[in-house]
Amino acid sequence: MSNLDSYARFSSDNPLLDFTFLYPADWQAIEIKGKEKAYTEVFIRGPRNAENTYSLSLVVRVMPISEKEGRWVDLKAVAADYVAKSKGLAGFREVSRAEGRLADVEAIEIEMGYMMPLPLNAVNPKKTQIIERKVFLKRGSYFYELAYTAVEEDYYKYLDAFRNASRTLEFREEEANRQVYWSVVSPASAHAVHEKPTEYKAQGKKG
Amino acid sequence: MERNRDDEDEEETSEVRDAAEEDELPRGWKPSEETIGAIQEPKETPKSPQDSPVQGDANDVKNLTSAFEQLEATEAGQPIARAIREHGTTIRFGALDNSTTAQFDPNKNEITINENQKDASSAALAAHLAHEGVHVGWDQPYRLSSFEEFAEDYIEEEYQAFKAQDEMWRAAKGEETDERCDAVSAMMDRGESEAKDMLLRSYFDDILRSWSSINQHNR
Repeated sequence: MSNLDSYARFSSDNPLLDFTFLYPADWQAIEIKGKEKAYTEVFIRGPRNAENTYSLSLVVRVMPISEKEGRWVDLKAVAADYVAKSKGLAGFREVSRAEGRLADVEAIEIEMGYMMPLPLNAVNPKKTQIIERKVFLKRGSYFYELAYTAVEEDYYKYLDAFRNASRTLEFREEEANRQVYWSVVSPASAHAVHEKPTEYKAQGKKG
Repeated sequence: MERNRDDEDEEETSEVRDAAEEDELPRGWKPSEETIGAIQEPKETPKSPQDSPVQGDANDVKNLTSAFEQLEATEAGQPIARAIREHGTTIRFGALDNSTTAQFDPNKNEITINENQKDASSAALAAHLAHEGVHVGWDQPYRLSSFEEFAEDYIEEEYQAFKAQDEMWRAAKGEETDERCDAVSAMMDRGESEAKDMLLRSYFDDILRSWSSINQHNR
């Protein structure tokens, strides 16, 4: 059982990972670089599900806008591409989407659900509901994504970890003028949580 | 997982010790905790590339040969089939835990397809052969200087195996559907970053166990 009362602050020597945020202290963070695409991310592995087939994760990914080959310089287009590429997943559904401004940075948040047969490539896999929530940000020459992914039964149990990460995410080089990022989504009714709604202007839709 | 879990107690070889000292592992090494203690040259004498890699009774041979021929007939599958032949790797149906459809055992130099898959289509079998064939031919050493690098290399190999599975499945399936292979294709459609994160969520504990075993051997 993860302890959500004790948090560690992520910080990296990697100049690309130019941000900090809080994550549960007993979760494990590793930094990963893409081979085919020039992305860098911190992948934080949370608790394993009851079936022992899937760990939940908190990820902050950074990719240069140039990686998008000039096609998706617009944040909306990045989010749309993410959704389009996810539609092939079994049982795909977009749960909610919101746009907002976070400390003068544009952000789009999307929550989606889909099914995966787990374990992967098992003879008799179990269809498992996955929920994924992602915030897209554009800052300077980079896109940032903060993502929280878990099986359905764990998603709500550990959602506070995502909330804390989004609340405490800040860019290091702006230490003198800290910008705190808040989750921007209008929460789906199933897990309605209000996170200082006055901090952002959101136009949510539920699908 | 598609990696061997046998031979837990076998001794570490000098090759492994040498490689570990250089912060690398030799080609063909598969990082499950059980195999780490059993890294060695294949036990069986490699067969000539002309031999059929398929083994088993007549019906098994027929099904697996059909799948292997599909692998050889596709652009994506050709280099994988060639690697299987060049390494003298054998292919057969066998008893596996149902959490595993197929696995490559580097100690036996053998790909085993779960015997519960004897009725699977040639396309599905070919897709799983493509996946395991990537493990057969994988020649990039794992970096051992940090867990992060090790995890990155581990996931890269799995990603390439799933990518080959996806490419083979798309090339061979026609109108056919298969829940597992279709799920892999959907996962790969999302791109490298999303697919690798999915693999990390699935295999993180395996990577940790492998890393732990390596550290035990290096003490």
